Amino acid sequence: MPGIEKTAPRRALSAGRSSKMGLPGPAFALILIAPCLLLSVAVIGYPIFDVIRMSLFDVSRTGVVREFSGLANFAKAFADPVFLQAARQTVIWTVCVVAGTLLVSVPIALILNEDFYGRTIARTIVLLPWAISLAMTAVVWRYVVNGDFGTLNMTLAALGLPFENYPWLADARMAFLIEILIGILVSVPFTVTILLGGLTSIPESLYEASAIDGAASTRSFYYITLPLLWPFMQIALVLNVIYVFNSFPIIWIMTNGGPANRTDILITYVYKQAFAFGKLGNAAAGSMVMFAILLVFAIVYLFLTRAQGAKNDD
Amino acid sequence: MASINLTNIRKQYGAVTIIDDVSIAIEDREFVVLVGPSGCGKSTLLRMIAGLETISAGTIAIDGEVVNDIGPQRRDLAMVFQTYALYPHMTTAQNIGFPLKLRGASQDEIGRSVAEVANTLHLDALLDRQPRALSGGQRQRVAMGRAMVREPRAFLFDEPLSNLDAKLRHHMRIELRQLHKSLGATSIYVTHDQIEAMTMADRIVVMNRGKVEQVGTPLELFDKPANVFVAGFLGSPTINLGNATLAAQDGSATLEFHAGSGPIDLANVPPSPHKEVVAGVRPQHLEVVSPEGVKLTGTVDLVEHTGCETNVILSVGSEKWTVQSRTRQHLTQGENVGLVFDPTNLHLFAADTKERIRW
Amino acid sequence: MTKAKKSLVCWALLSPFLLVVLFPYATMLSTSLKQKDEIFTFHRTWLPRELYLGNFAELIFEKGFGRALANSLAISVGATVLSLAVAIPAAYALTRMRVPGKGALTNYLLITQMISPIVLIVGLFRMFAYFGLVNSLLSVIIAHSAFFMAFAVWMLQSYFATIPKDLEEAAWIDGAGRFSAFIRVFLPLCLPGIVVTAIFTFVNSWNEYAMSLTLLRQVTQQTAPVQIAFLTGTLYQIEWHLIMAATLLASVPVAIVFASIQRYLIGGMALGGVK
Ligand SMILES: Nc1ncnc2c1ncn2[C@@H]1O[C@H](COP(=O)(O)OP(=O)(O)OP(=O)(O)O)[C@@H](O)[C@H]1O
Ligand SMILES: [Mg+2]
Repeated sequence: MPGIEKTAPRRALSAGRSSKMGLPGPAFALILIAPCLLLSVAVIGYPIFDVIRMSLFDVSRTGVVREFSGLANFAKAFADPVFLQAARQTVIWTVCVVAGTLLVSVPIALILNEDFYGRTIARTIVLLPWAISLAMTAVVWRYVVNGDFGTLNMTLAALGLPFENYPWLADARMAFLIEILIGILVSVPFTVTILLGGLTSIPESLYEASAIDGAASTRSFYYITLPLLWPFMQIALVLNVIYVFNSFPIIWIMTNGGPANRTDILITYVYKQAFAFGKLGNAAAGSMVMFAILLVFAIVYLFLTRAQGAKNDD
Repeated sequence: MASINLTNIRKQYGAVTIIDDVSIAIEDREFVVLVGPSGCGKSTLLRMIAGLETISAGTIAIDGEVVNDIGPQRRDLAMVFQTYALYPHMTTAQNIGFPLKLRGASQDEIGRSVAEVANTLHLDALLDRQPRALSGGQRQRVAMGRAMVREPRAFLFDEPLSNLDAKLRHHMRIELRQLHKSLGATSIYVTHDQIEAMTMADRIVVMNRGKVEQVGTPLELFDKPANVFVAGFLGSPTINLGNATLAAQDGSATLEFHAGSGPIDLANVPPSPHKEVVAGVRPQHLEVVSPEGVKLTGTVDLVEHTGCETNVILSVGSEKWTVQSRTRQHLTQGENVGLVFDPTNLHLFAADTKERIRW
Repeated sequence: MTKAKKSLVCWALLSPFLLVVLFPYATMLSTSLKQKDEIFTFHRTWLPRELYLGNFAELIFEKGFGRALANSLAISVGATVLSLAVAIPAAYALTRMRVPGKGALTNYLLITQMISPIVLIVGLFRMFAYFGLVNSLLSVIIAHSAFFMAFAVWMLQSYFATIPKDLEEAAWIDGAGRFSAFIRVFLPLCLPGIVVTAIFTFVNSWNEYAMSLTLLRQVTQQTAPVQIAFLTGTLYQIEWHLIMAATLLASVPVAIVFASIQRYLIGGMALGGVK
């Protein structure tokens, strides 16, 4: 990653000879790109460097970087049972939310791709959770499932069900399950958007051809829709893994990782280490672990999109 | 108005040479047509003249001034694109007036010039429409209007008629020609349509694979093609070409086609060092006769009636030849016929260099 | 199957999900119109006693939520302007010019998209602290711009690529300088794409939580989402009626704007971003 940053501008400069004609030379193109690159390198590149440095050094509570400590921060993190618990929970969180999202999104995308009355309204409603801040979604749901005053219990009670004062978030398992369901809810819009993009790119003539060939609609689903949708599902999968893995507000606001760290994931762990306990070295080590995992996902994503781009070019 | 001189122009993309050592001198007020097969570099050359492509080597001079390092904005040329490139967010009047607006002309002035141009091009009724509400021919005229409005030093056209149907193309050809007569503007016109080239050009430049094959008036090119490529490129149906052996003996000569013919007597051929030649006869110059006593014979494959002309496609040995005749031919497939031509209409090219043998 | 029948089936199949999506909205609306005593009672109902708008007034005039909205607006507008200001030239260069190292640059932008700001939040905080920008809206504007810019570049690139190049070339030949051709010909043609990108960036910035939470540490500078979450953190009885009124205020206008660009997202962004 830092390697990319370094080589890109250098190669650019050596090739940068501008034409005298007023036609855009590579140097001019670089001038246009420079602000974008500078902003990105400064705001994203520098913190990466800083986090790497902190993870390898002994850092005081106030953030003074003291002596080099090798992998001590990492060793400390891996020895911390809360870290390991958070890591385990991160896997559960990511796998459940992503799998659930795809499971829900594929049928929804298929339905929304049909031509029916009110489709635009239905699409708008499905995409609605995307428009709202995750933080606010979390706040509202925290109220919805509130045991004493929430609207969920109010509705269930009105239906005659025995949930009068059921404290949904008090039990860690139940709380985590609810957070996972909300995670699915907010990931569906983006996923449906990608899948719909894929579905609309399947030419109608393919279905007509297979209908003429006498294929039933379930068969054309298996032989046409699914194979053509597959690359989009892969991309949605990888992007969702990245987004969900990184997702902070839902858990932070609804349960703050509690009760007893049983809903903590790596990102909330890191945040607490840094801003609640002032263990910056620990936090940096945790960040680096996450960063490495993300980088793997990013490379998988690049690989997938490149492969697909190459296929599209044929 | 201006003369345009291209000297040893070269264009390379990496290791690939697209334009190879092209030199053309275009005189003031001349209408020059660039023709050549697809991909031969016509558009590239035109865009280099316009300033839209860099020049790898050589010089382009307008009115004697080298413009290699001058951007398209300041060359004061006008260009009509194949796609017309009308600004979709502007009306016809705004499109035509745009070049004047950029030069800071007053609203009054712009209005007057636009009205004048619109009048010439019969666009008066369309001035408030946006391009998407115009037909292909109308768009083409708006593009013309935008080029004409500021009286540029020269006009550049890149296949401006290729998006139109045959009838409209014919009509626009005549209009463009008349416009050129009245404006007298230096014009460079790219096409791969040989009819456009023949009918519109003062001079034609035939290009092939980035090189100039021949420059000349349409009739010069038709009557005296400099090489096999030009001979084959111009003329419809395509010229009949065959490898042959030339035998010259004091003042007279005979030609024998490899495809199978007896020695044909040619009068007035000067002694030539070439023995092996490519001989060409245009379909219009061949006549079908009865085969008795004729040196060149063939069998009829197909007879096409186009109405006024009849095309007879024959096998001469292993080659396909075409004869075009103004009289109706009643021939049957497989019939053996003789072919005769006036030797003055014969084109001879050296077999090795493919260059014309002058005579 | 007739279209009417099909519609019925489609809506029926979608309804469970739609219900879950709309449930929080119903909650927000119902609760924000209730008075405090209606919430903290045993017999609660969906319908409020009366259309009570006092919560909104209290929120804005007494709780200072108006300031939170203003902060959010300032940050979102600032971030949108800044990220478009850097993304438009970059996207233009990437679609229109030969850029040395283009592949590496695209990959770099892509990877920055994958890194959540929270992974780097410690580093980010320290950097802005170093420049004395913590507790300044500017820090969040810069941070948002940096993180949302890559997406803006992609979206713009996919729009820019649809504008034929010969329009600009025609403008150059007509006598327009590169800049003038850009302003008079190119920009008007891609305005729709720029507007969609701007809205998308605005919404993202408006909704962002973690960076605003971390970089703005004073109550007076909180953005709307941060303040709303902050209000739930009190030790006393949480004032849900006010909080729901606040979420309604902060989310409905943005949701409407977002819905307006929904159809562009499906065709354009998904594919543009994926490629
Ligand atoms: N950017 C480029 N990089 C490499 N080769 C190019 C580039 N642009 C054009 N070429 C090549 O240059 C050659 C000439 O292209 P040009 O467009 O000038 O042809 P043309 O004579 O106008 O053909 P047509 O009649 O089809 O328009 C083609 O073989 C083309 O593939
Ligand atoms: Mg061309």
